[in-house]
Amino acid sequence: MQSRPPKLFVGVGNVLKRDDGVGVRVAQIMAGLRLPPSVEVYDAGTVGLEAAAMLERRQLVVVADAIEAAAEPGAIFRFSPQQLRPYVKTALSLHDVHLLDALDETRLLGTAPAQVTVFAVQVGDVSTGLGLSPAVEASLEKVLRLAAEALGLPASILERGSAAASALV
Amino acid sequence: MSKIVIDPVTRIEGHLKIEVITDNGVVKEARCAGMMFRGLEVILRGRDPRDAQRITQRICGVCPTAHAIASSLALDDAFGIADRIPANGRLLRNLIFGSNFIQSHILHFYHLAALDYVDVTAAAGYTGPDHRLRQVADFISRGSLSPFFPRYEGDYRLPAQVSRAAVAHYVEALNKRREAHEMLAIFGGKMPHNMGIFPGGALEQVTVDKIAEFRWRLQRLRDFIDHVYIPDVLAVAKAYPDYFQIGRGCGRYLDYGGWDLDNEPDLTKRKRLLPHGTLEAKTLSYQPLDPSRITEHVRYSWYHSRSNLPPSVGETEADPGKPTAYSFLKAPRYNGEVYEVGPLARMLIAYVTGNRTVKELVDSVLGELGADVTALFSVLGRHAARALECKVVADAMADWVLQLQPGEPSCAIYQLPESGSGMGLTAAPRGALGHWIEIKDGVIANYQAVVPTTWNCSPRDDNGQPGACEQALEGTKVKDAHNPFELVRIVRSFDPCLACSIHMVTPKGHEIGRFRAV
Repeated sequence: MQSRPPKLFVGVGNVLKRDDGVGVRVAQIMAGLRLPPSVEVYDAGTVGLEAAAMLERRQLVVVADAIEAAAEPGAIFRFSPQQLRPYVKTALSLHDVHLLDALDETRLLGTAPAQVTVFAVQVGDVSTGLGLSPAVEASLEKVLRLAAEALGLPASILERGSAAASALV
Repeated sequence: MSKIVIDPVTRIEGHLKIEVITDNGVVKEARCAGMMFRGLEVILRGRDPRDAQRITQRICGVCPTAHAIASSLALDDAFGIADRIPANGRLLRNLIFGSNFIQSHILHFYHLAALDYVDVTAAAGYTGPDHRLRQVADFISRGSLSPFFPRYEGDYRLPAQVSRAAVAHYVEALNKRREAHEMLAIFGGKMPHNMGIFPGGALEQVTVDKIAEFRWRLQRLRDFIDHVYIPDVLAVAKAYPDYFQIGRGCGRYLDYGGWDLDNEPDLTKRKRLLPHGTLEAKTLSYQPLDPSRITEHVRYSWYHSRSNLPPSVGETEADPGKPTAYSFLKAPRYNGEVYEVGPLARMLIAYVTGNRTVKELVDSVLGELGADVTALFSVLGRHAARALECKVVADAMADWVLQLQPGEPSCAIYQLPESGSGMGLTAAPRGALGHWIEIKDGVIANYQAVVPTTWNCSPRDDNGQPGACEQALEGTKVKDAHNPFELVRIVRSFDPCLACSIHMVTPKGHEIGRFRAV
């Protein structure tokens, strides 16, 4: 296997459910930036366990996701997966698993990424449809700035990115 | 009378909920409910028809490839180009889809189903030479028990040694899954939501290096299927023979067929690896498929659209307050009857229609288990059929990859029509998947998808007939209402596919406020 970039940016969510897709939107914008070869961008969409293959053996994984935390739409949270534990679950189908399960799996295999940071944006509208609600749309710039910082990227990288970002809208 | 509810509390909304009423420990009435409205056509209406292939893949992160196939078939049909798909395009579709398909079957068995029968704690305290078992033992000793716990406590019957071997295979399956993922990416670009399958064929060029990369990975997966996956399913079957009687279900099976072998424009006449049709369990009588007999009932579903409509003219007007309803799933019916879909349906149809490969495989497995074909209508029958189908598809892929022609085109060139309609029917990992599209003025006027789990986990229909999974649950004996592992085993044998709608974090009971970043 060829060696992979040590840092991975992951966007998670379902773009068919408006704000639920905020993470994917951030990943799409990230992918349009001139990133150094040390950073790879992964649009994980609604993936479950298959994400494990992408997470394995990275030095750093930064995730953008949606969250329901009863805050105002567009509020941004930052945490590590351990801080979210434990959550109760009983999976009836492969569709009941998610990125956290994929992370567990890499821990089991001894291939877990060294560090994982999650940025999660409080959703406003998760009805069926494409596109973000205004409050979440307005949070994109901040999420990008936080994610770039977490990935050790210079802030200047986003200046070019804003153009790329608006091109995607 | 008492009520048992299996309602997975996960971070994912829109899940499957199972409610049963028991009387003296026997299930009298079962209700399967899909808890999420998924109005796909709301999004697709008015868009470029080619967007359907991209957008429908986003329905699901576990089986996006099947949606890519079904939507591309529907678009080939609507564009009038189904007879012009280049051989490379047809083969690449089969190979990309096959990669996702076999990994889905392997993952379902090891990650979900096997854990109902194999006691993972058999690996606790292991100090022997097997590094896979040491990994699991280390993992357990660090006190990190997810993904294995919490679980419903089953009656674990496998001897410790067999359990330990199965746990080692669980770890191996995770590694195999990575190889299947890489294999898919060779021609599909990425997983999930691949970019390779497209109306007109496929978008990746065939080269000799890619063929070689694909072949060695496929060979390793085939070895795993033959020497690990199928033997493990048989080991479970031998220890749990009662599950050849449990969860038998409605006794009618249906599939659309899958993996195109030629370019016949009429899907029902197209030559495919696995054939379409319906089968009656009682008489083993086979009928070819007539897609015009498919309709969807909504009496017990949260919709106020008209009932009993064919999917091509389907309507989806949500009505969450509807008093008689208990599910967001509609109830698809064929000829007004309940049908089960999935690998078991496909293996039975292939068996009865004289597919030699399938017949030999099924007979050899039945011989080893000392069972006859009627034993397959059961929980274990579904797992066995899934494993055999995995082999049938992987073996066929080994032939297809050799038929690829480097340098030849993969995709037809075509003009978009102003109007048209199309139907895309395919086998998907979890059963028959259909997409229907109507194009007017160059854009999508209507789009309907009937997914496999709508068949299997449907609510009651207009005539009050329970769905396939509901029927499989009814009559089941539950030893302990607080730990209904029998019911979980039945539901999992269908490999249901539902909870894809919303994937956000829902940190119940956590003080998330202290993690505010901005």
